Amino acid sequence: MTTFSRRSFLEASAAASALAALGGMPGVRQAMAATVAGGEKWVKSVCRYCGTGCGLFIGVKDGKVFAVKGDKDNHNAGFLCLKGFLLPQILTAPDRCLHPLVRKEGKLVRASWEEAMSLVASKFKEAIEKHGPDSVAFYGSGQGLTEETYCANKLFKAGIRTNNVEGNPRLCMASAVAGYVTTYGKDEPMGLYEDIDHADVILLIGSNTAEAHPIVFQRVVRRKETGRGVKVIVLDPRFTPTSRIADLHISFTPGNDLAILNAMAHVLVKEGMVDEGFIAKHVAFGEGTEVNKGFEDYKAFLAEYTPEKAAAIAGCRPEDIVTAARWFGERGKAATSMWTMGLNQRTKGVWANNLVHNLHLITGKIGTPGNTPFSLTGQPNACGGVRDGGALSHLLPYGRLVANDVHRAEMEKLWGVPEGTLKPKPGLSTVDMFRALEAGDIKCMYIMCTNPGQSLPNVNRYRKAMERADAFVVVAEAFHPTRTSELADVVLPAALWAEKEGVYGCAERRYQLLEQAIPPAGEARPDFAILCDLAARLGHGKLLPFKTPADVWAEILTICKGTVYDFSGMTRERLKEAHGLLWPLPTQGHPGTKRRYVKGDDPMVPADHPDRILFYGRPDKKAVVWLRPQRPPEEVPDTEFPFFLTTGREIEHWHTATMTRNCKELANTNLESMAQLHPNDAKKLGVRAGQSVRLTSRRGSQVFRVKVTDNSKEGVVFIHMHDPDRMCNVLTIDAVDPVSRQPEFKVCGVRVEKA
Amino acid sequence: MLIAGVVIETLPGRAPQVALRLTSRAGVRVEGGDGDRRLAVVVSAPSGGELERWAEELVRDDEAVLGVFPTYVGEDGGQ
Repeated sequence: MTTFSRRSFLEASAAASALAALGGMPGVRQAMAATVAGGEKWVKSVCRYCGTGCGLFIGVKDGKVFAVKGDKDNHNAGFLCLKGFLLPQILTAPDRCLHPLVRKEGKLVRASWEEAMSLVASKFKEAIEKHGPDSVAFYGSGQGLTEETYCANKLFKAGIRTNNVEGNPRLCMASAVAGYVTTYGKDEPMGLYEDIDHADVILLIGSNTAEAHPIVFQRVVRRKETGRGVKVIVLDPRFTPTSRIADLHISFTPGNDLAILNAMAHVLVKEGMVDEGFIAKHVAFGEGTEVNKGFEDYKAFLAEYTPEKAAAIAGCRPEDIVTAARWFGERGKAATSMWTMGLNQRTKGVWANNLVHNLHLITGKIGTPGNTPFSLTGQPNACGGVRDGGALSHLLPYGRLVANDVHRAEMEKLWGVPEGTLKPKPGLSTVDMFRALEAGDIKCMYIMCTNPGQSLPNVNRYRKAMERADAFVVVAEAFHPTRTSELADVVLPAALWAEKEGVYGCAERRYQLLEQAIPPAGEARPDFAILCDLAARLGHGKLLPFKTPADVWAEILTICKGTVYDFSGMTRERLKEAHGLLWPLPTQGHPGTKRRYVKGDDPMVPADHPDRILFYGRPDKKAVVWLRPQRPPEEVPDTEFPFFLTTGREIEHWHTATMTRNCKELANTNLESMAQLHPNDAKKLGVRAGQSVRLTSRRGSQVFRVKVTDNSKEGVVFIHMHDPDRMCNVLTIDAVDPVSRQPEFKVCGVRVEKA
Repeated sequence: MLIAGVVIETLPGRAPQVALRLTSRAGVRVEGGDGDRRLAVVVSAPSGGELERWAEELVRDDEAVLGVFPTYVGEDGGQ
């Protein structure tokens, strides 16, 4: 088998990226020539991987996908990372799930669709009849298409009548959601990728952008190269590839960045770099959950967060905090901040998000080109499908809440179900849902397009729950085996990416249509079709009467109308023509909204509003600066577990690697999770590169080979999340943020011993 | 070691000449070009600073080079 070193991979990625900028890789150029000669078609689509949402074209010949090329007219300007270029390989992967499987006598065996669906329907019916609607649950994904997630949400909440609807965005971005909602009253970023092109200061915090969002990073690099005096600040415990371009990298002990962010605000206030006029007009102040403070209270709160004190807490240099604040706050300089899992996957994740927003609000650096707080997203449709579509246990579509009487009544009317159909109590959030499965309270779970058997924190606990004899687990998935499908009672083969049609919504509110390019492989069916089938079998066929995903989209346009998301002008026809459209977009003639809350851009802001900005998400039309104190993570090292464990991503792989491990150039590159140790720690432990160590946390134990690198901070072990055979989540903690219910994957204590 | 993909923009018609000159430089590999004014190149450099210096020098010293535009930056970390 060909081995592909990391260096080879990086060189290939670099070459692919540069060649793409010239118009395509050699293979793509050849393919394009063939298009002319052979009449092959290029189908407009979106990358299947991260939340950047790169537009691309899928090349189809003889009914097979043979290449992709970047869409030059999309935000990615034709660029794709190597993972994107290799997408065609996932469609023909040897572990594609091509027919239904049903567990018999302990083994998953081939079954017909009729047998599998009859079993699923009968088990769900039985559980609902015997134990009530809340004995079943749906666990979806930020990778499902919007129409699919919408169908599942409607079936479970309005049909079955349970709010036990969750999805893996709870694991990756729930704190960002709660951060936006608590600060502005509404979810989702107000800016867009284009802000990078205008930024003079780019603050990257809790984001290894270079590896997790390579095309966004490329835009940052381009801005740094072409802009005059552009500064990049990276706050990350590790010296990642992202840090390579930093003008200032602040490394700190994991979980202590709240102190740093408050200290930056301290410097901004102390040195007069705040915009008092903006604050007076547009900002309110709050503590806890009450908006009952003033600017003077905030100043008093910040007084104790001197750079020196914060540096002592966080293990960094006070002068670096001062420098970061001064660069961020310099008048006339535009500041963009971007973050992702490093802030979100924390028990103080919502607070950390609030503190980033605080920096923008007190300086007024928001809502103009280059000035924006921008949460990056991990999955391609976590925003469009799950967040916006309201497919979490406390949400209803497009900003509506389960617990809000008016919102429920509105949705009951829109969905044509009797008053009182929707239950007022939010369902269980992800960790609680799997705990209910463990406790036997949830009898049946339908898992769609994701891999919780690998991606949940403290994963072995919940793997045991999925294995319970009295738990019936259905997995609709394009691949088998995965670490989840191996535990299932029924596996339903799902169509994948180019094999189906639907909408993805990426991190910048850009919705894009993925057109079907080829038929589904084997007996696979689109999740849309599977869910409609299930609805009919459960007696809820009238709720999902759709023949095509376009029918679903037509209904969705009526659901979003009149909300702050309003994209009712985003018809299927416009989506087919456009290279992505940004909401709000309330009429067919509307061009879409670059910057929310901004007069002249956001249609929700009245044209005669006296100010340039209107934070209409809250009743007082102001955004909130929250007084959030420094608090440590849930679990910090002690004598028994003396190291920090932090987890993350590598450029070659994505999520639980069900797709990337199926690309030959990636399969042998860095898939193995290794314990990345600082040289001094390796020396103290008496281990060398390549030797094995056993990592033990309060939850589990796992052996990893050692990688020695001074990219790691002393006392911190890093392991990536992709490896299905050496799962970092055996060790991670399942403590959650009390507001967002997002688990703290990023920080826990471990013991490291030579194995 | 930092590994970067860059597009080099040249004066019209000068890309082949620039490509020829680049092939003699250590740590530089020409991957392709449009035959006219653009080259796709992979560069290895010890650090980001070195990479930036290389790009600055190239623009300064080669009159046919109009600009160097990074398309990708990755790091070949130690083990």
